[in-house]
Amino acid sequence: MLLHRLTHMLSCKEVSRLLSQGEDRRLTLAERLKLRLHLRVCTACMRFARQIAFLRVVLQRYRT
Amino acid sequence: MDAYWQVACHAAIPVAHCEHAHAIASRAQFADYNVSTPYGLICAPDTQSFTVDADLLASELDTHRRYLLRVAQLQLRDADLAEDVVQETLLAALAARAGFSGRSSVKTWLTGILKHKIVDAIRQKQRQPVILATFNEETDLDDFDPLFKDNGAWEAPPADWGDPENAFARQEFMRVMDACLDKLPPNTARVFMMREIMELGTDEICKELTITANNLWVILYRARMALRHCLEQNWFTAQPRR
Repeated sequence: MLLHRLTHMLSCKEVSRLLSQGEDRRLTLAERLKLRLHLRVCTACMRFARQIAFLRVVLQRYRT
Repeated sequence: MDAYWQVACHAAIPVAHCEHAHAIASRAQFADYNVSTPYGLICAPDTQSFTVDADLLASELDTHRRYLLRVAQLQLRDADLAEDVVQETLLAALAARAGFSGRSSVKTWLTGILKHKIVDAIRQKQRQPVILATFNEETDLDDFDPLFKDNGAWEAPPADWGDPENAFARQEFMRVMDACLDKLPPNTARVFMMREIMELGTDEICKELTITANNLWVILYRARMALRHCLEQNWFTAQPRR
């Protein structure tokens, strides 16, 4: 069961939600591992991850 | 000395709001200041302690007033209420100016005060059932998401943004960002601004709005997805590479 939970591949939709939640809470180790696995093979989600990080920078500029 | 305060009052407080400013003034314990017309408020201080940073603070307040209004407007979606909240912020700032320690921190200092005023205003608004109804609509946890196929793959994968930081070289970029923030549904925008501009903790937001952490994550997720999409459409793929 645990093994299944750790190796279950995330869908892009799940990845996008986790990446957003990563801005608001500390992701669990399992979540981080699964994210890393997915991002390694998925160009679209890798782009998305960079864009969310960029959004953070934009908002930082917005504040100052 | 008085002249400085005239400037501050002209700059910070529109005539139309002077009536209201009077009310706020008494609430904010400005009782020992003379209140005069037409600019209403605190334009004739009767204590010596005022002189120190008066001109500096007056021009600073004017500089930041638009930013504060913008932030308040985005969160409250109510021009009058935003105006009131900013006014209260500026008044509180004037009252507490002794606690302000230098030019570079004015914006942060003002934003800190604004944060509390907005939270107060939201708390009041929360009591209105209309707001709650639309709020529930926006926090609906419906799993259907048009951005993804049934199997969870991207319907339209994110485009290549190149090096997005190049966008900062163009002033228009922040205007596009502004427009994108404006397009967010009202409550989504409010929550997003509480989180990203006011930098409130997630616990704090959940408590203020009496929503669950899950609700909050969904709202913030929607906000980020919408902003990402909007920036992509209106900037990164809108015209030849900038």
